[in-house]
Amino acid sequence: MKILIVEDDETNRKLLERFLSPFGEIRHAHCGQSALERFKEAHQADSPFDLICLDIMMPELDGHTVLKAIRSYETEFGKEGAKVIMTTSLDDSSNVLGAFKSGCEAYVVKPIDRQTLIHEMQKLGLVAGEPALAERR
Amino acid sequence: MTTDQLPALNRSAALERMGGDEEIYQEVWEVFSDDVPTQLEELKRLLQANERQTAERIAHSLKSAAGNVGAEQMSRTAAELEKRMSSAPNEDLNGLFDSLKQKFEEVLRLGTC
Repeated sequence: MKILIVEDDETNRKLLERFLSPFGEIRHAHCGQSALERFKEAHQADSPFDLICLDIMMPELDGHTVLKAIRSYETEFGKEGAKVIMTTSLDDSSNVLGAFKSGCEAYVVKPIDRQTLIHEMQKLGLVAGEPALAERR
Repeated sequence: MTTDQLPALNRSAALERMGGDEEIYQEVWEVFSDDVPTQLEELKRLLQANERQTAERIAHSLKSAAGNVGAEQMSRTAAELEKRMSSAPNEDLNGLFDSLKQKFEEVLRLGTC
């Protein structure tokens, strides 16, 4: 599985990387603009991301704008949709509803719980089950 | 619950969110303790320059960074700073910043002893 972590905070980035690295190849984007560039480059290289973990509050382009741009690109070019999990500390209904309206598949609130994140990935059919402890190292 | 009633460092809750993996906690802790001083300096500069929009984003970032390692008082103070950023007078924000910095220093002491 190919995973893009879009996160501007280093501590959050490290946490997500450690949670997700057992499940596939990780790429990082530190802001919304760079996320869109990586997303498009991956499509152009015919190697799109299966999962995008997307923060909302970021400089310049926020997560909502990035999500809309991702879905618009996929529609325009007839691409299969990446699974998008919002990973954010914004837990108010307008952010949650707005994100689902724009096409995210799941919404996980920080501080992120590893089990919750993996459970969401299981619901999306991205992982069958949890890797054994030894494989996580 | 008031901020002071929260644990300064709730390591066990953070560790539980990490599936009990001490190695992950240690790695995240190292990034947290290295990165937060830079973010605090930046936040101070932004407050002095009255650049509140960017300062709000840094406070937001510190809230979740602190939350990851279980720095609950620090996370709550960062959340308060974020929430009050658009309307509070400078002196209140400076007071909250000082409190945030103290709470971070306390967390560092607790986390490294």
